[in-house]
Amino acid sequence: MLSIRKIWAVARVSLLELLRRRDVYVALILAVVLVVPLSTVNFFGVEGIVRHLREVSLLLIWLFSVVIAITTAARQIPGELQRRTILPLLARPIRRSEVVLGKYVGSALAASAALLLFYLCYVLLTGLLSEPQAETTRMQATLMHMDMTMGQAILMHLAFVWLLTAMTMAGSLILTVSANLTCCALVAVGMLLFGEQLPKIADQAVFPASWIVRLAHYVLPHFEFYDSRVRLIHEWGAYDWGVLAIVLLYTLLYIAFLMIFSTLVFNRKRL
Amino acid sequence: MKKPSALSILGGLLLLLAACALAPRLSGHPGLRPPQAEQPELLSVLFGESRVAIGERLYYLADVYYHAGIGYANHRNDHHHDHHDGHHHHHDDDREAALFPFAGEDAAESAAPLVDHCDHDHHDGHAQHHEDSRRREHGGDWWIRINRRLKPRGHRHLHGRREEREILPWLWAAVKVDPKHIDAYLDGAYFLAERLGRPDEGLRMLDEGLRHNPGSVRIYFARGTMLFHRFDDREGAFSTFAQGREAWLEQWEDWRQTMACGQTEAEQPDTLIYYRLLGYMGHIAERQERPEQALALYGEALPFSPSPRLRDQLLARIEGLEAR
Amino acid sequence: MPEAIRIDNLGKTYRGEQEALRNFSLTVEQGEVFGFLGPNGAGKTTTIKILLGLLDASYGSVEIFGQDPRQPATRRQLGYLPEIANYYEFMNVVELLRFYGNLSGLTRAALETRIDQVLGLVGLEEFRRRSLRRFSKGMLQRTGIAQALLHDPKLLILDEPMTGLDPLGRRQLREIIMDLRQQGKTVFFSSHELSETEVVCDRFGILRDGELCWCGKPGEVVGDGEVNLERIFLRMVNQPALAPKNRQAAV
Ligand SMILES: Nc1ncnc2c1ncn2[C@@H]1O[C@H](COP(=O)(O)OP(=O)(O)OP(=O)(O)O)[C@@H](O)[C@H]1O
Ligand SMILES: [Mg+2]
Repeated sequence: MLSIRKIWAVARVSLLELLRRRDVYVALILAVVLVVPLSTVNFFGVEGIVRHLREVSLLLIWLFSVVIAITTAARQIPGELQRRTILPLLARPIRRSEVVLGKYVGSALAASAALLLFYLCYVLLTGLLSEPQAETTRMQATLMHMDMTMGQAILMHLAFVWLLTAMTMAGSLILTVSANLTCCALVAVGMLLFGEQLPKIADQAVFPASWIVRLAHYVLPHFEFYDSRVRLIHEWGAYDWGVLAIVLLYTLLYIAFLMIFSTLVFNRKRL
Repeated sequence: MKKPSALSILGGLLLLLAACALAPRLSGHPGLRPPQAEQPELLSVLFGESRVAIGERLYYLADVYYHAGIGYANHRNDHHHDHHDGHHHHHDDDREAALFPFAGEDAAESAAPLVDHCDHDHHDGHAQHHEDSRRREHGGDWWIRINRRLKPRGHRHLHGRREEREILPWLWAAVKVDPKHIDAYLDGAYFLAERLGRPDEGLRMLDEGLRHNPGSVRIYFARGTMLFHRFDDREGAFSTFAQGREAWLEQWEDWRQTMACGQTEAEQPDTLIYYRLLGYMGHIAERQERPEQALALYGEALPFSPSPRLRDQLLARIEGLEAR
Repeated sequence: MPEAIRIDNLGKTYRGEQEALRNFSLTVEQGEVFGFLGPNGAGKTTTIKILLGLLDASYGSVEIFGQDPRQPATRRQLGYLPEIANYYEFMNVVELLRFYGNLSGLTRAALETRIDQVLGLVGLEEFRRRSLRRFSKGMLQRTGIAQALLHDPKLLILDEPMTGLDPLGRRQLREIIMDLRQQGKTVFFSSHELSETEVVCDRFGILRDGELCWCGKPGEVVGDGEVNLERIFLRMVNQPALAPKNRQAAV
């Protein structure tokens, strides 16, 4: 049996690390510094234009969420090995699978916390910058941005971060840190951009390439599922809960697979 | 040491948030407007040769925005074979709308609708598409199906000023990055003048386009029609059309010379726009009681009639004038 | 009562043909303080890692209180000081000890009192709030000792506990070990500090090239009347290497 208490104890280390890292705050300030001047640009004297601000802010949030998720997860276990704290850790009455799970939960929660902070700023910013409609105050306008679509979009983005963290963690056990960072960033960005098009690309490609692309389509995590930016920016409304549930189930199954894989690899790891 | 630095970060954050809250109030202040003249140069230095591609991309984004975030690429994916044509069709459609922004209203205004008005309704065409894609919504593996259910599909346009203004930033950026992007000027001016009730800004945009693209017949034409319909400025419109006519004739002459040199690839200047320029000029001359000039202009237009029906119409008009 | 440590015919060959341990057997009784000596690269750390279940043996077996150390439950009664560790630099020492205490299953109240106690023992009370990033080498070593003692284990396995400690720190450590012996705990430590070892331990073993070449008590007379541990050590270590054939015969 796995002990929740031990997993949580390990997870808290990663959370504390993120809390004391400066990158998140730097990223947040960078995002605000980029978006705020954009909001002051005058487009032919027409006021109340908001979608481009949403576009840029969400792009930055996605970018930073990828960066934060993979840099957090990629360093967890290699960091333990490099600091050699893995030895006193494993000398405690703890299973290796508990260490892997704790590290995963910790980095996933850390990345989620950072993401929620980003979305909080997003909601505040877009709320404050949007033109208040008749008889709503700024505050009400801000709150109006927190609707169902927004909630679902955040949930999807959280699921994205969890899956990406799991993938990076699994990668960190079989690749060097820099190779893992590069691969995970490539897969995440590549799937976000082209994930939906892979079958068509495979149709058009010639033999070896077409097989590789098709394999990627079936094997790699479909990160493009989670991208709800168009829905959010252009007000397409909420997801159908059925498909949302399917995607969350997919996420959980994929994460479970990656965690079992990681545990098996870590159990055989020589220290 | 740790605490104060965390505090200062938080403080900085709060200050920035305060700045965001203030920014929209201040941006209207004339002293705070960014200097407009310097920007294009800065951007061209920044982007170098790639700015044409970036400008095209931004212009494309404006179209994506007009279709509520759904690009051609997505449409094309839905229906791979026949869609390719459909897409171009749609594309040309939009370009035509930009070319003749006021064509629809001409007819109502009794003026010279020297254009065949058989163009299909944009919306009907797309509704058909939508049906097709619905029918194709089956098949594919799990991943394809999930994606289909997740991504917004279908054809939607922005409606009303509140939504339509959203495409402006991309057109703005497109002409800032690539000042030679004539389509972006035309679309921007069209949206400003026709959809957003800002003809003054539309005219300013066309003037800026002319400054960067001297001799652009399409911009002259758009400017003339805008002056004619939106500002009711017949003289202004006439002289703009006249400038456009001169520019066109110059291009025509150049083209003929290159053809004479045996260079067969040179692109022929668009005769339809010339025909329409002359039509508007003739119409204005007619209104301003200068029938001889109107006759001359119509006569000049006659060989360029795009269809036999319009040619007959034009002939009837000429006969009417001669009868007077 | 099972032995605290039982090593049976242990052998370890690292990947890359590095033979670190060879047919090595040893038992340590409960309540004993055992000094584990040997030149650099003799295989002391390798033995300790196998004892903790961090490394698998190539052949042979180890038992801690009669149980397999690879089972987490076995390690509950075990405190370990690693040879080198840079503890989480973004924490302070109290946070670090809380973390390890939680993993060892201490209750919250017990944990806080134990933290105060061990910090007092290793002399780190005044640095409770200082980030580990700014700890000196000796302070980190004391931190390591504190985490090994934290859950009051029955068996302590310390890998070179004296390194980096100042004279005062060494004396404190000596006192700690004496105390543990008083309480009936078992201590197994590797060291290069022969004089310290001699004072503290009940028994010691000398490892050379992965083989135990001497095991005895301090003050025991060796061969031609040698009592001084340093001399014994040098003599054992400087013996010409056994030829492979003889080695087989010796076992
Ligand atoms: N991870 C490893 N992979 C391969 N060989 C190793 C590894 N760790 C140790 N060795 C080798 O095993 C032998 C024993 O090493 P070990 O670390 O156990 O020595 P030690 O007695 O602790 O030395 P020291 O006194 O320097 O700490 C050495 O020859 C070393 O090179
Ligand atoms: Mg060692």
